[in-house]
Amino acid sequence: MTCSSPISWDDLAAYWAGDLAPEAVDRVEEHLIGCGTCSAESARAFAVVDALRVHIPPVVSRAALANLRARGMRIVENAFKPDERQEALFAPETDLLIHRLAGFDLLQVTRVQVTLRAESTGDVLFEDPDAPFDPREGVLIACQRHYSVMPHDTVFEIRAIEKSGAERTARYLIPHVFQG
Amino acid sequence: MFEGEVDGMLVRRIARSDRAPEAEAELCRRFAPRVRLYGLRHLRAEDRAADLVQLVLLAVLEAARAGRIEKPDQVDRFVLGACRNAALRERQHQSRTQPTELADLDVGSYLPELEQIPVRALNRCMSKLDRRARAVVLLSFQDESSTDEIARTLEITAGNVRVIRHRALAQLRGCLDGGEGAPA
Repeated sequence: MTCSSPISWDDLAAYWAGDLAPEAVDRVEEHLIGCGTCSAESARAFAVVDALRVHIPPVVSRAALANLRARGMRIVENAFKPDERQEALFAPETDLLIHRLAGFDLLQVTRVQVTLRAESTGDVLFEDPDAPFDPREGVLIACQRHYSVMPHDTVFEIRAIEKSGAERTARYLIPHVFQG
Repeated sequence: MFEGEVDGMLVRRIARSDRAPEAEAELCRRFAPRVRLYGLRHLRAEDRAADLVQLVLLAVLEAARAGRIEKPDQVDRFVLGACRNAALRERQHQSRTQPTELADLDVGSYLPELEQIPVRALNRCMSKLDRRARAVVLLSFQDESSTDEIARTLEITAGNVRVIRHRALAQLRGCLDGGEGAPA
């Protein structure tokens, strides 16, 4: 099954973003309804879009957090210090747990890398080479209930890269308990 | 069974009762996923999209049985028209369609499972986007900001937003498919 004049990926992205003019929407839909190939490709684009609609990144900015609060999410925020083991409790009435990784000077920092590992195995669970951060309050980790399927003995490693190129690291030992 | 037959041939079979049950099933199998996508785009809920599939397929089958599809080779246009009318009615009523006496069509059997993207895979692939691309896709699809709003927020042009968005979406798709790059 092939298509001789497939809908371009940029048109599909714009279609799902609601960014096509009405006549372009009509043109795209006239093609999609008659074309199994392009319809299947559109379904693949939709799957990504649909996942993004509910996606909360593991590292969030303060502005993103404010948006989530405004949407009515029940958010509990805790502060953590480097090298101290401190448990994070995900209670049933909580939608989102925020770990504020603080106590680490980020004032002269241009980029922050965040790595999440399982303490027992060292397996990398997540990496963000260019994570959002606030120079004054640190890095905000958004812990979500569906993360309960991941190992609970987690270590967050922060690598701070300064303007001079110098690098510093901090480790936060945060075992998780998911209730409910 | 009707692999090589174009849609119009199926419609003609249904109209003249020539292996009509199989032809109807094949027509439903072809169009159900496409109608659902239309519903997901315009009604934005899986259950309402499934209702739309049922309404539209029933309308198409009834018309085909009665020989009311004047141009069988353009049955896709008939389907799209039925989608538009049914979605408009759905939006106007803002409620789910009530089952009808014809609601004996098992639409579920014609609909493949929607792809569910694992959270961990999405996190991994999102982390490969640069910070601006991540912001564009989240503002586009989560906050549902317009292109102009995103352009203002990120202090870039609307054209840049569009380019970043489709490249980021393609990169995510490529990454989720197991590669790092974007599809061509």
